[in-house]
Parts: sequence; C-alpha cells; structure tokens
Amino acid sequence: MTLRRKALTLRWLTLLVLFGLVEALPRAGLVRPATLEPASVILGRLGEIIVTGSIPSPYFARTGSPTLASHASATLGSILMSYAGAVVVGTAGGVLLWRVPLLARILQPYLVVYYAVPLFALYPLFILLFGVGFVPIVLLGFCFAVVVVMVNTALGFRRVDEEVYPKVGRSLGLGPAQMYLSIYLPAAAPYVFSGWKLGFAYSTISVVASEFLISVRGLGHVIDRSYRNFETANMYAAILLVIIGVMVANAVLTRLERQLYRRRG
Amino acid sequence: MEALRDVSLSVEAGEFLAIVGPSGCGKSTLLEIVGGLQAPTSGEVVVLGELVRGPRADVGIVFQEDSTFPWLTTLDNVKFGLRARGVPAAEQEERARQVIQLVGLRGFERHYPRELSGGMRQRVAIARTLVLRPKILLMDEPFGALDAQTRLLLGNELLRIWQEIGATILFVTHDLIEALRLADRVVLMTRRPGRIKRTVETAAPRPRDERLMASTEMARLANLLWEELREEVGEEGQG
Amino acid sequence: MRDKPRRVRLGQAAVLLGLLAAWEGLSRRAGALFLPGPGAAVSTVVDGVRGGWLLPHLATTVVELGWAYVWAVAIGLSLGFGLGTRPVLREAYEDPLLNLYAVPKVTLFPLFLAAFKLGMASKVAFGAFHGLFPVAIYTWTAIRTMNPVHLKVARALKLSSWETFWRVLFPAVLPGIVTGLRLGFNLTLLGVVLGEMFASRGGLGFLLMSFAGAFDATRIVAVIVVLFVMALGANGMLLALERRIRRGPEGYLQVS
Repeated sequence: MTLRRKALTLRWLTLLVLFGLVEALPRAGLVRPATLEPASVILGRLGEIIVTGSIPSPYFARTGSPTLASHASATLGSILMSYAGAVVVGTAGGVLLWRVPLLARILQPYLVVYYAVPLFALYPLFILLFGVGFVPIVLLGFCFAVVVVMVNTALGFRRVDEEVYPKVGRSLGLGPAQMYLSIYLPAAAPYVFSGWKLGFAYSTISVVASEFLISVRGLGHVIDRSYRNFETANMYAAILLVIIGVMVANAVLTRLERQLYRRRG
Repeated sequence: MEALRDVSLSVEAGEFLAIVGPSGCGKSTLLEIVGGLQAPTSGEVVVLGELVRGPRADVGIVFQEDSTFPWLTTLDNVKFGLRARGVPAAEQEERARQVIQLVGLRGFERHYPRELSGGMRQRVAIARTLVLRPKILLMDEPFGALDAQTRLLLGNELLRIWQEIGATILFVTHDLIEALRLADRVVLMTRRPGRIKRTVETAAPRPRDERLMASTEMARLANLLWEELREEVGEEGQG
Repeated sequence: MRDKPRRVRLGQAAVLLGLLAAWEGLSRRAGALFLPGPGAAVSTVVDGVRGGWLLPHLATTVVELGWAYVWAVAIGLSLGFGLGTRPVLREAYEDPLLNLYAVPKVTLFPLFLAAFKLGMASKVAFGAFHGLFPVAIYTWTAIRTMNPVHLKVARALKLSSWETFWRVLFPAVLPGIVTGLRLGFNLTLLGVVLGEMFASRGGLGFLLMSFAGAFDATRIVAVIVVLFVMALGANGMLLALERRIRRGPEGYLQVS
C-alpha cells in the first residue's frame, strides 16, 4: 500500500474509533448524558437544527431568538466586520512597514510580543466601556487579527525585494505604478494571502470565544447557554456546527492559497 | 566597500566583449552601472553618445538568476516590456512571436516557466530583452546557473542570434574558455577592488569548435589569461 | 542585542511613551471610572498586593500555567517527534491537526469541564490543549525540513544512534523547536486565562470576570497590567533564549 493510502486508512480508522467511542460510552452508561450524548443523537440534533432552522430549547424560545439564522448571522457578521477591518488596516500597515524600514525596525519588538500578551483579558474592559453587544466583539476580533496580517504583508513584500524581479522591472524602465501592479503585486500575492488566511482564523477564534464568554447572540453564545442549561445535545450540535464551518472556510482559503503559490512556481 | 576602481573601457558598436575575473571582483557591479541600475561614485558612462543616468530603452539586461515571471506564460513574459511601453497589442503579439522563434522556443508560447527547463527559461529571459530591440545587450553570467552542456548549446545559440541582430554585447562570465569561445575581445579584471588587468583580442573566425579552441593561438591566449587570473585568485588564497 | 542605531532606540522609546501618553489621554477623556490611567493602574496593583486580593489569584494562575505548559511541551514534543519521524503519521494527521489549529478551541471547553470538573485540572488541561499545537507543529516541521544530507554525513562518519541524535538531529531541529516553545507558552497562557474567565473560582481570569460584574474598571485594568507584565517578562526570557539558539539575522522572528 502506498504511503498516501496507508495514511488515509489511518485517518478514517481514527475517525471511526472516535465516533465509536462517542457513540458507545454514553449509551453504555459509562458517561453521564450531562457530559456527553451519543454521536448519533448529536448528529441527529444537528440535522434537525439545520433543517428546521431553529434550536429546540425552551430557553431560546423564551428569549425570542430561537432561529439558527439569527445566531449564525450574528457570528458571521461579527467575524466579517472585524476581519474586513483587519485586512484593510493590516495590509496597509504592512505595506507601510515595508516602505519605511526604519519604522519596521522601531516597531519590531512590539510586534513580536504583541501576541504574547493574553489580548482576551481586554474583553471585560471593552464590555465595561462599550456595553454588551457587537462593538466589543468586533473590536477585539480586529485587535486579534490585524497584526498577523500586517506582519505577513510586510514579510511578503520584503521577500520580493530580495528576489530578482524588481531589478528586471527597473531595467525595463517601469514607472512606480507599473512596478507595483505588474511586479510587486503578483510576486507578493501568495505571502500576503497567507496573512489573510491567518487573519481570518484569528478573527473567528476571537469572535466565537467572545460570544462564548459574554454576549446575547451568536453561535458561541448558543454553545455557552446550552452548556449552562444542560442541553447537552444542542451544545455538541452547535460545537460541531462551528467546527465544520471553520474547517470548510479554512479548506477553501487553503485551496486558494495553494493556487497562488502554484502560480509562483 | 569599493567594488571597482579606475575602470576605463570603451566598446565598439557591434562588438562582442567578454568580461572575466575572480569572484567578487565587481564585474556584476560594472554591468549594473553600464545598465543604469547603479550610479558610479565617480566617472561617467557614455552609451551611444549619451550619458547614462538610469536604465535606457536601447540597453537590455539579462540576469544570472532565473528572472522569468513565474505567473506569466512565455508569451506574456516576452511581451512584458512591450506592454509596459504601451506598444499596441497586435504589434506586441507579432514581435513577441518573432523573437520566441528566434531564440528557438516556438511551440512553448503558452507554457509557464515551471514547465520549462533552466536553459529554456533563460531563453525566455533573453527573448524578453531582445524583443525591445536593444542596441546593447548586457549579460551578467546568463548561463552561470545552467549545466555545462546547456551552456555550450546556449552559447552557440547566442552567437547565432547576435549575428542576426547585430547588437553590441557585454558578456560577463567566470568561465575563461567560454569567454574565448564567444567573444571578439576578452577583458580580465583584478580582484576587488576590480581594475582592468589585461585585454586580449581573439581575432578568430566563428564558430569556434574544439579544434580551433585547441589551436596554438587560442591555447596561448588561454594560458595567458589563466596565469593572470591565477595571480589574482592566488594572492587572495594566501592572504 | 546587536547594536541598534540611536534613531531606532529613540523611536522605540518614543513609541512606548506615546502609548502610555495615549492611554493617559483616553483615560482622561473617558473618565477615570471607566478607564483608569497608567498611574491609577499601578497604584491599584500595589493596593491589590497589600490588600491580599491579588497575590492568591496570581499564584493560582501561575501554578495552572506552569503545569499546563509542562503538559503542552510534553505532549507537543511527543506529537511533533512522532509525526516528524514517521511519514505515515504525518501524512495522516498533519492536515487535520492544522485545521484543528484554526478552530476556536474555546468551544471545546465544556468537554474539558465535563472531564476534569471545576477545579484547577480543567484549566491546566485546557491551557495545555492550546499550547501543544505550536510546539508540535514547529517540531515536526523542523524535523521535516532538516537537510537530509546531515544524516548521510552522520552515517558516513559511523556515528552511533545516540550521537546522531544528540550531535546532528537535535542541534539541527532545535531552532525551530525553540520558536514553537515560545509560541506554545503564549497560547498556553491564553488558554489558562480563558478557562479561568469562563468557569473558575480562582485565578486572574476569574478576577477579570468578577470585577466586570462589579463594574470595577480600575481593578480590571490592574489585573490586565499584571497579566501583560507577566507575559512580557516570560517572553523576554524565551526570546533571549531563542535568539541565543538561532544566532541568525534579526528580523524574521515569528510573531504567532
């Protein structure tokens, strides 16, 4: 069997074993239903939620937001808003850092330790300042994602400078606009996109975690509430939904990223 | 750090001049100065009666590294400079295809660089420069990254192209024999800071096959250059 | 540190001062009740130490962090070496693990709570779960991108297995691993704090949430300062270690 085939078999086997455990342990009574429901029940509940579009829970019915759409759109909206901000500011900032090497050298230690501090600690402060709602969530998501975009953008353009292409452009007498459009942009694109991909992951992680902690809406909030109300099946269904959503988005972005790198050869 | 010192050189129109020297002697710097990519700290470069202040349309440069744009096809790579200069699309197409044929890459117009061998990629780079009809072609060890056989092949191709287009060529190489095989004149530089140590005229008909290269005259020139080169490198080695 | 020109040092000091000044400015704008300034924050920290409400929770967090990091490194290195040295495992698990990295792991916290209950153990496990990923990823990448010629040289010199590991493999992969250890530490800290914020009876994260409930911005900021200083201190040490080991050109230090 080829390596690839062996690896795929291993992967499927692992999945099967995990599935089996999640199915068998609760059913055998080895794990309480408050902790874990059987896999089939979880998947069934997930299907039910997706098909009916609403979350079967007296709590959510009471609070007037029983639909999956209201929560999913809140989460997605927060992610997209914080991500858009991070991409715009981060990419522009990255280009600035590349164009002004002195600035890059000055900011370097700050950028390196930016992600060392638990940025999440700012969330309760943002809540006190802006109240519970979209603003603290989007703001924190922006803070999380912007620096990784900036750093990858700057790195990407710097790598292009080390290659031969700008020299070719100059020898052909290209003007500055042409240099950017026909040389720097295509050459740096894969590196910049890697930053965008990471930024998306960071936005998502931050938004969902924020909703999980304190919020009134969103998929993270659904998971949290279901946990506190002991609605275990709902909770795992929501967790699965988030995981699948993120994996799909990540797979799409990775595919795009590979395309960009392939164009570079 | 000084790369060159007191270099004085004049090149005839239509001449094939080779520049050789030990590593780091500043030959690439010299080429970039002539090409307007770097400015000399003192002195001036005059090309076709005009002072060189920056890259010029009538001077083309071919680099040693693979400089083909990997995100463009052969055809788009070759058209690149024409496009930047606003040449109309139909003319771009025609001139590009002509030059692609000239460098022997007909049929590979739609290929991407990653689908081509190293030698073919250098041909694309050469084509991209030639399509702009430069009067002077500066080549910085263009075959340096290729294997010996491809080097021989491309060298002959280059001679063929040169005879067709009649441009002046400045050809930097570390390979003494290659220089003697291709050029009218070979200039040997000292080690850094580079100065011109010695110039020889080859004055032999082309193509220069193995027999000609083994002739007494060529052998004498080769030995002369070897000795002078060894002095430069030897001193460094004993330093 | 390599000698930095004065301009760069001045610029860095300027940025720091600028940040502090901006903080002070914002604080005055928003009102000290909503956003205490740097001075108030520091004095609150001192009060906290004297008043006894800061140190016990700081100790809790540090203990949890310590244990979580130990586990993160142990599991991360094992996973990293396993996947680094056995191509079958890497081919099978690399992509799923990388995908898992992008998933908001906080959504899995209920699982940890269910398994480890409300005490320190769940925070330790959760923190380790966060931190093991960079350690593992950087380890197996370092092993995979090692120049295979080194191993050939070792064989040609007839080195023993131990010598090959200790004098060839280990030094070759160490730089990559050390970066993974640093980033792993940062994520472990994040995981521990998150866990404390969500469900805990102690620790700095717990303090953050309870002060939020009491609308006590001053103490929240004080705790944030303590956390940030702790993180910066630890990172400073880890960075120094990383620079010593890498001994390479400054500039491309990994951010995250």
